[in-house]
Amino acid sequence: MNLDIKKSSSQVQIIFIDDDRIDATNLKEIQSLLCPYVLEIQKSNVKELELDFTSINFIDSSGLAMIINIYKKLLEKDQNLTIINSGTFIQEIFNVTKLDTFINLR
Amino acid sequence: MKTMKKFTSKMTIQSNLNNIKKVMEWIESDLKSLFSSERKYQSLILGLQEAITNAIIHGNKFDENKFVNISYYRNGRIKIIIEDEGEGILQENQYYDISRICKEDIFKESRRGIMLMKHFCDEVIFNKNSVTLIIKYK
Repeated sequence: MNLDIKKSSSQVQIIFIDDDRIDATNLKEIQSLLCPYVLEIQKSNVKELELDFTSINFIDSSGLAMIINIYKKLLEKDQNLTIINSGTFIQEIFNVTKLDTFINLR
Repeated sequence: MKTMKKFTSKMTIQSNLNNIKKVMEWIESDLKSLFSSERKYQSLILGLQEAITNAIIHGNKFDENKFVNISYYRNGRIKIIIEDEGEGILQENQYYDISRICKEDIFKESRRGIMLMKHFCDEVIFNKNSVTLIIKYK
């Protein structure tokens, strides 16, 4: 997994590249990549983190737990988390676990 | 429930999350072509991923001296049995009703995997040391 980062004054966009899944098998790697950016955002005036799921077609409950942790950390600083470009299968996973009631998907 | 006696294949892995990839490659090679719908195949993979992860983490507690057995039967639908060597699966999982999850429970760490298995598979059966997933591929 690799990340492509786009920053503006109000938003950070993180695009997942080179892998199509977030699950128990690659979670530690993804967490170690994401963690510095989440900490940096928490210390900044950025209002929103966008995670671009264009390349992601699979997420399991471990991956969802990671997304929830990011959501909670940002919420402490009144910052938003949005997932963009998610496919129908990913949307169904967020829907059945009701995480879409808290986390924006578009 | 119809019985599915035709044993097709079996794999045993050590309790290490890195071994899940081997299982998925085996399932893809053996079963993916049976599925006419990509969503149905993804459902099988998600259910299997959750069941094996549970077996390694909660069942065998990452003990690499303990093993996870995965076997499948095929007969118009696929029945996959995932067995571990742990102390047993909570039987209340069998009766966990995902439609009744309340707002306060949405962020709780536990049972999200059970929710996904139950939603995406046609049937999920919990026994003491095994989970059986049944999914139609036609």
